[in-house]
Amino acid sequence: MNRKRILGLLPLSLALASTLAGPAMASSHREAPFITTSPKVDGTDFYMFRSYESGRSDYVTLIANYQPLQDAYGGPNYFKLDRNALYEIHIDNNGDSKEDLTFQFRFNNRLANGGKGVELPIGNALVAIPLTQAGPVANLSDANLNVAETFTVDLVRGDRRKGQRYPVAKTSGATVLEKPVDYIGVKTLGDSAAYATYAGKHVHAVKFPGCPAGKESGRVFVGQRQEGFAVNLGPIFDLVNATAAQVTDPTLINAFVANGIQDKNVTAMAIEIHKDCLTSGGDPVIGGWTSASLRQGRLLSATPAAGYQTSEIVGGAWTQVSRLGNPLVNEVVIGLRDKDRFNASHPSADGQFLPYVTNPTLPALLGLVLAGNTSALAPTNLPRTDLATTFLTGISGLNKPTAVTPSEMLRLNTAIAPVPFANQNRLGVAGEILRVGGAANLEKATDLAGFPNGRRPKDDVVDIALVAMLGGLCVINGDNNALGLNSIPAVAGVTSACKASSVPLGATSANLHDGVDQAVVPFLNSFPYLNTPIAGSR
Amino acid sequence: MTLTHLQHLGLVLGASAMLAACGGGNNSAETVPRLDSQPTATDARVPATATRSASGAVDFIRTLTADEDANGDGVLIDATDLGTSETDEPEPDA
Repeated sequence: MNRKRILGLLPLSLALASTLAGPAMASSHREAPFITTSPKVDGTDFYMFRSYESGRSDYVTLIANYQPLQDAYGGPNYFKLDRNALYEIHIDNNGDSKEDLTFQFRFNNRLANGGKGVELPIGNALVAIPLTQAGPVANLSDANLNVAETFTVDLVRGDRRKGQRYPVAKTSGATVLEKPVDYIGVKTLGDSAAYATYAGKHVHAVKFPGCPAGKESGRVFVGQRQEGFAVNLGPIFDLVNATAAQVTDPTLINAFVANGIQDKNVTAMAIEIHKDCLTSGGDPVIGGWTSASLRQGRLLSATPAAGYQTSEIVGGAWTQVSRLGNPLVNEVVIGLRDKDRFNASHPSADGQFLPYVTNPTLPALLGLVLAGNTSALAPTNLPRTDLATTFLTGISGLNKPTAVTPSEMLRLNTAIAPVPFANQNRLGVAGEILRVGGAANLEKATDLAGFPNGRRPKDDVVDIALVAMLGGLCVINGDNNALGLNSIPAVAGVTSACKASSVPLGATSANLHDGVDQAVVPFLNSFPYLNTPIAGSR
Repeated sequence: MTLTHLQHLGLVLGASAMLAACGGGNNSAETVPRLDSQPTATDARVPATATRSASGAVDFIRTLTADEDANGDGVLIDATDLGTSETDEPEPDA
C-alpha cells in the first residue's frame, strides 16, 4: 500500500482508533471496567515537571487529577473526594521500580453545626438545609459552608504501607488542610477572579519532613480545576470533517475540531517540593505514578444514620483500584481483559504486561479496520524497543535512571532546567528534536523538559502518543540509532530495527495529530498551573 | 458514625423537649419526622470479630457474599467501625 493511499485513509483511521479505544476523554479516564463504578477514585492525569513559575525553578510540581468529566453544575453535592479512599503519589528515586517516597492524601467531609448540618428555624422546627452552602462563600472555612472539606497529607519513606509515615504540616504546624468548595456559581463565589482569589487562600505553605536543611518548604493545593486535557472527541463518528491534509499538516493542529471536554472540571491534588527532596544518591532522575485505594470490604446500610456519607461502613486493608504513570497506557495500550488488573498492579510487577508494549495492538488495529490488513500502518520493528524504552526505562541521556528495572512510570530528569510556558514545545522532546533537525543537532534544542521527560500541562500527549505509536520515534532514531532505541536498557538480547524503513508512514508519522491543540488550553503560569474551574452558573 | 435504635429514640425525645422549651412544641404533624419510622433490619448484626481487625472485617464480608438470599433484610449496622489496617496487604482472593 503506497503512502498516498495511507494518508487518504488517515482521518477515518484516527477516528476509528478513537472508537476502538473508547472515548479517550482524558489521558486515563473511565479506562477500566471497575473504575467506571468508582469515579471518585478514578485517576485521570498525572503531571510531573520542574516548576516553571518565575523563581521556583528548583522545585518539582506533582499534580494528580481525579474524578473526571465534572459538569460544573453538578449540585447539590458537587464533587467532594471520598473520605473512605486513600489517594497517593509515589516516587521511585533509585530506579528499582519500587516507591521510595509516597505522598498520601486522606479527606474528611464534615457537616457543619456539630455534624447536624446547617439548620434553619422553620415554624417551630429546626430543619436541616439541602444545599452544600447557606450563603455566599469567600473565606477559608467559611461559615456559610454546610460541608467542611479538609484533608491531611502524609509523607511515607520506604514501602507505602510499612514505611515510616510523617505528617506534612503547614508552616503554622497545623496538619489539617482546607480544600475550597467547588465552583458552584457566581452568586455563591463571585466571578472567576473572585473564585481564583478564594481558591488561592487554599494554597498551603508547608514543610516536608526529612528534606535537606533549608529545602523543606513547599506548597500543597487540592481543589477543583478546569480540565486541562485536550482531545478530539466530538467528530469520532463524523468522518467528513477530517481530511488527510489536516491531520498531517502541523499548521492545522487546532483547525477543525473543538476540544470535546473543555467545559469540564476535574479535581487536582498538587504538590510543589524542592527537587533535592525527591532525588537520591546523586541520580537526578525520578520516576512517579499515582494510585488510589479503597478499603477491601464495604458494608452497605439499609438504614443510613443521619450524617454525611453514612450509607456504608468500610473495613479491611487498603486495596489499590487505580494506577497512572505515563498518560494513555491503560487507556489504549493494555488489553480490556487486563485493565482492572493493571489498575491494581504495582510497577515492580510490570513484566506481566510487557507484550502490550513490545507488541502493541493499536497500530495494527488502525490497519485492520481500514484495509483488512494489520500491517498497513504498523511499524515493523518488533518487538517495539522504542516504546519499551520510552515507557519502561526512560531514554538514555535524557530520563533514564543510572540503574533501572523496567517498569511503567513517568520519569523526570530533575537536572534539566524548566522552560517558561510560552517557550515550551507542545510536542515535548520529540517535537524539539524534530524542530532542530534531528538528534545530531541536539545542542540546539532549547526545550528538553517536556514529555516523555516528565509531563507538563501543555505537552500534547495525544499527538505525541500518535507519533510514537506509528513510528515517529524510529524515524528520529534513524539508521545510526541516535536515541538508542534499537534495544531496551537493562534488558539484554532484545533488539529491533527502529529506523525510518520500519515505518510505513515514514517521516509523515512525525506530523500526526488529532486536530485539537493541547497548547491552546488555558493554564496558569504559577502553582497549581491548572486553570480556575468552570463555574456551575455564570 | 451510625446510630442504634436507642440513639434514634433519644434524638426524637430530645427534639420534642426542645420544641416544648421553645413554647411552640406539640405532638402534632409540625414535629420533626421520627427517625425510627424508617424500615427496620433484621436481628443480624456485625460481629465483634469484624470490628477488631482488618482480616476479621473481610472474613465477615466474605460470609455475606456467600449469601445469595435475595429476599433477606440484610445486616443491621450497629457497629461503629469495621476493623481496618494501615499496614496490612489486602487479603488474597478466597
